[in-house]
Amino acid sequence: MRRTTIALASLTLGVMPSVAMADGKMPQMDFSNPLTGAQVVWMAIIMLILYFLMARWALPQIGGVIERRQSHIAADLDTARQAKARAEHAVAELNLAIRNAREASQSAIAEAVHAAKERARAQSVELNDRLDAQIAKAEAEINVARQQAVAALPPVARDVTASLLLRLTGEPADPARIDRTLASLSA
Amino acid sequence: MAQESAINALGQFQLTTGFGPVGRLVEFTNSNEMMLLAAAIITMMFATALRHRAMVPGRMQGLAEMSYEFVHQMVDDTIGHEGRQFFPFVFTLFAFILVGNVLGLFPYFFAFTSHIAVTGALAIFVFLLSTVVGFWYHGIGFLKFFSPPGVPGWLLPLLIPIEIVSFLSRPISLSVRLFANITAGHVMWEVFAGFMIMLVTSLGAVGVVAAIIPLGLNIALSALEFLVAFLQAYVFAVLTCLYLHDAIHLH
Repeated sequence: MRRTTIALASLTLGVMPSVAMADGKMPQMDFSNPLTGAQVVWMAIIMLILYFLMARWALPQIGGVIERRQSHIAADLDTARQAKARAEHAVAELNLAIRNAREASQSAIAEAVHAAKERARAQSVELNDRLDAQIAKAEAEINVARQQAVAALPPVARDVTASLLLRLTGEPADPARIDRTLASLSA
Repeated sequence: MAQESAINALGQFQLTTGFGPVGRLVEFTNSNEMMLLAAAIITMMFATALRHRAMVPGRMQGLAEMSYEFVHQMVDDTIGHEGRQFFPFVFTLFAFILVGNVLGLFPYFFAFTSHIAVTGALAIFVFLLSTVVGFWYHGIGFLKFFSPPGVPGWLLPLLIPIEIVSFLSRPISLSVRLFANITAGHVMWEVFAGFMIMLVTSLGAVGVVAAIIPLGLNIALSALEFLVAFLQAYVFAVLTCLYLHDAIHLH
């Protein structure tokens, strides 16, 4: 493209030499003009001043601004990363707490169930004992009553037998013989 | 009138003195006025940019930071770590040439980069700087720069003169490239503009219609010249970095 520019320029200059080179001479090539050299001297002075302005003031300042921004961004990113790590840590802690709580509650439930079962068993054992005792007592009472009843039977039997024999035979039976007979029957 | 405009295609490059009698006395030229304006614009840009030092930059600060980082990147990439000390120099050079090129595009302004004396002085300074840096870093060993490694011995008598010639031609190509680009653009502008006036004066109404063609060319050329203004400043700065790289690293 640069070459095209030059080619086009030279073409134009070639086509219209009377127009372009009417003066016959380019001012740029006129080294006899003292201004040609003078502009270079002034340029040196201007560029020297510009160079010191840039090197001592402008560029370090702008560089400092850019650096400060980068360190600021880096610090912000760092803070964000730390916050993320803290958040992740907190989540992990929360999960751990939840798991611990679940385990604790399950063990508490198991314990409570166990305790309830124990108590129920103890109660049932106690109840059984009481019932057994009552049954035993009742059985003992029944036994006593039965023995009393059994004990009460022989006189009644003797009386009945005596009266029966009296009615049948018309005479009183021998009490000793009745007793013997009854004893042999009940044995 | 038309003839006069057409004839003065090179008149735009004529040096005069600026700043009245004082300027005439110290030979302060119109091109120096533009240089001063360019330096003032660059300084003002930084002054404006540094007024707020905002964390989120405004336009001016953004521009200053962008130019800073652009040149910093270029210096870092091209020269390497040692290039840091040359960053202010390359930045000054780049900014000065860029603003000078762009200022030259405005009507009635002077394009100081269109003067071979100016570009030549800059190029010679860059050339001398890179040579001094080369000897500073390598002493007499800098002369090894002219014999590239890995070349068969019998080629050296041929190669070393070529290397020396190419080394010595650096300031010429550097200065002529910038000077020729800026000069060519401005001459073409003026020639096409003069051609328009010639068409109108010589052909009348037909000429007015025909003048649309050089006008369109000039419009297209304006866009091209803005590109060239930036590109040439960039090329000058990059080549400066490249020469300094060669001086420090020897290829």
